[in-house]
Amino acid sequence: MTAKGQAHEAHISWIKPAPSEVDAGSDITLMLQIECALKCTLEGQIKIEDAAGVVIKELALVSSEEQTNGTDEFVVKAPIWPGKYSWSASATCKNEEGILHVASPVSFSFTVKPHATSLAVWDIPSPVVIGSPFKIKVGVQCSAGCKLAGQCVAVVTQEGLQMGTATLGEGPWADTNTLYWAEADVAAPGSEGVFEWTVKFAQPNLEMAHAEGSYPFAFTAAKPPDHVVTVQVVDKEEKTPVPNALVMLYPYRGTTDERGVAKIGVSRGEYELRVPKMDKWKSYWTNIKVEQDLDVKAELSLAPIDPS
Amino acid sequence: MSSDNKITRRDFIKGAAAGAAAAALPNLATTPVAAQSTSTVPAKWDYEADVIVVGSGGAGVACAAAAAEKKASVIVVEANDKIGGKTILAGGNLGIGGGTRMQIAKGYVENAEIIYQDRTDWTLRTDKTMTVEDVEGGKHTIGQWRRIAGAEDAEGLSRVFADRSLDTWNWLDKMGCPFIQANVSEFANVYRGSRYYTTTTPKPVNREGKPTDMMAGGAGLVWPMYDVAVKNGAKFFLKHKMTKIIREGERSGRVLGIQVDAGGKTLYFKAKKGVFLGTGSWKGNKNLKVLFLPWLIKYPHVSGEPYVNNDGSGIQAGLDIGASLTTDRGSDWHGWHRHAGSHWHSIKEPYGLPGTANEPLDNACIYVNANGKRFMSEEIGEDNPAWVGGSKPFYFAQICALQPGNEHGPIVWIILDDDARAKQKLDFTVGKVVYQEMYANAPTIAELATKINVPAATLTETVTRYNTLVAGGKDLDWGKKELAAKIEKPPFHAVMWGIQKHNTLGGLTINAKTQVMDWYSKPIPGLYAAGECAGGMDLIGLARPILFGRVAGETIADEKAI
Repeated sequence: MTAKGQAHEAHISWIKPAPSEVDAGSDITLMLQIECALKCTLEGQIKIEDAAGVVIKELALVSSEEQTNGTDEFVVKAPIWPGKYSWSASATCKNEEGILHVASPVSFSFTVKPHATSLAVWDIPSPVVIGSPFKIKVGVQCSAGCKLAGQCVAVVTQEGLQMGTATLGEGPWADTNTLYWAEADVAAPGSEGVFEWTVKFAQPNLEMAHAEGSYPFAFTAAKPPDHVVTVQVVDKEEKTPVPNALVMLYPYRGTTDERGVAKIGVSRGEYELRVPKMDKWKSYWTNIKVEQDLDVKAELSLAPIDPS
Repeated sequence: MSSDNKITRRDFIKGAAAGAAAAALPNLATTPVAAQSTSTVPAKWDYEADVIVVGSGGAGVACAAAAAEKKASVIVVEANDKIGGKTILAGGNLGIGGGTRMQIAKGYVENAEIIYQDRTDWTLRTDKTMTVEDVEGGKHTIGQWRRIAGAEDAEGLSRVFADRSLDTWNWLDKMGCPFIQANVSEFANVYRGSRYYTTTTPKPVNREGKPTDMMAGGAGLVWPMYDVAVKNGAKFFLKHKMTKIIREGERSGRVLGIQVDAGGKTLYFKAKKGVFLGTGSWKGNKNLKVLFLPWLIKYPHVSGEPYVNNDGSGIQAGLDIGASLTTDRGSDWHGWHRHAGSHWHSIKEPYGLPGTANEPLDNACIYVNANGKRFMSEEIGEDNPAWVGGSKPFYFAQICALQPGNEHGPIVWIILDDDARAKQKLDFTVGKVVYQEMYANAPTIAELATKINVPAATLTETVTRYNTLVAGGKDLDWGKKELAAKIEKPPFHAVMWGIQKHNTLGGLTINAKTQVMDWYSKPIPGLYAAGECAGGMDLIGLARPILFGRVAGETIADEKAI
């Protein structure tokens, strides 16, 4: 039987304290120990409580060769809503003789942040044809890897006009684990030019708090083509076709097929025809004037090789 | 002149005993540097031979083979635990010609006079211009690469190079170098030495290694020369590093031999006919960097590392005994290598990771610094004829040198999307192709930025801005001509450039007989040099070290023994 007056004074110290900022609903890893001025070996319980006294976690003290009167690393879940939180840790322990050890509760504070989101936009047609709806792919990722299937994204102009929407699909994009994506139908601008619009991930309807995200994307809008330029790309030395070569007639572009041929629809005008550097070949460029359908041959020269 | 002084087993036993005796003396290896700078002829030599060759790269093995063939006794000391120096890692594209059987087979016409003219007559060099950018992004149109600066006879070296090209190629051919064919390539006459260089079949760098080990054309040249040297009695001492050249007087008289550190033991090697320095480039030597190309100190890595380190100690040893230096005639203009994902060049297992086999196309990526900002046109140097293979001109490296860096040099990330990676079939396998700290991928640009420790908002802004420029068809920021692709398709990739100096040209002044010259243009008796430790002609690649290494071997073998 232990009299109250015999209680030893003890205090709680952190081996692994809480970080000052945590993501909503994320795991917080903690570790602590009880120190007795008289070096008693203790048994007892640790309790983590929130500001309202609701018990978040209870666990037993452990003693091992590495440490005495401590805990292993343990995990508590952060609240799911953003804000500042103050929790406390308290302990009720006895030594081998049954003497009570009293430690004042230790409070600790942290801020819960909403999950960050980041976006990507790809497969944007180049160019977009004025007045013709087009499709783009949109992806959203949560910093904590939350499943975002079913969430909505919107495409808006610089003036804030909504031009399209999409709902994120069930599975993540290939070669990613967490990028949820959708194909969005987007209304095209009515004039030529370079446009910079934005995809927005706003007001998500998720269990955890998520920050809104946005990502700008640029595209060129051009008149519908009225002539076809057929470009035959060949190796200058071997006279063999070069497949998969990008052919640029800005803002129009195409890629050669297995026969080294790219057929590109363009509107009437003057262009710089460019086959950018690729593989073992140097760049090729020439100026052309398109007033009717046109055939052009582009001969690629080999790039110099390492001298050593 | 032949010599009867072949190295015998008895010599070795004697040498070993002498080495043990030397080890019992006061520890010379730890004697202060200042004390070592005075000339000290040892009371007793541990080894002696007609020719002491320092370094076993292309110059060293050519010298050893040529001298040994002429019946001179030869000892080669090599600091590394493997032979071959940087040459053994090379691609094996040999710029020696002059009418070889393979040139004739292809219908290419070349002779000594053509080679000599290509080296000395600047009017034969094309009058193309090129645009270079300065560090502030300004553009300047200037004449052809080294049109005048490189067109000279260089102490008569060009004449010898022209005259000895064909028989040196035949010498290598006869000893079994696995030549494939003659080839033509742009500007080869300017930087290779022959208009029609010869390719060489890659061979194992390490003969005793695994079948999966590194193969290199340079090994196809080094091993036959090594075999010829050994067959004719040359002895190779690995892990023996020259620490000093021993001359009769501090800066006078004949060179008598060298001092060597062999695992902490100091040994002395006497050269009865001559010491040959084939010790490689200065590009890993801070003092020589400051002398030749000061901003190179921003780059701690050199190509060939970690197989070789190019510490310039051979050049410094020459300077210590009174040799003169020839300025670098253009290695600022060329000879940079960059490899995505690795700090090394031409290094593969078991020596290191090679980086991506192809460099990401400039027209489908951007370069950003540690702040997440673009800082140059990615296609910088494309109109520079000094651009060869993975090389970029000095102004690429110079601009990168202005960016924030770490212990490996300037930090330059290549940012590309998965479309660009897939089209080029780029392999970024961590731990096999690229180093962990030099690569990251992520589903979004923001997360990629976090992974490579650059500000996410800045990198996002940079990529967005670039994509807008691509949409507009014009790089208003840096003047890049080919805006082939936006960076938009996930996952996104960041791979760090490893930038290394490939080669250098400046070094000890030599004459046409490869004798090292002093400040007063007098040969230092008994001292010869070739390869990257020697100055002279503005050739890069394997032609210069091998041809002049051979010339040195023949010349020294014909000297009178002391």
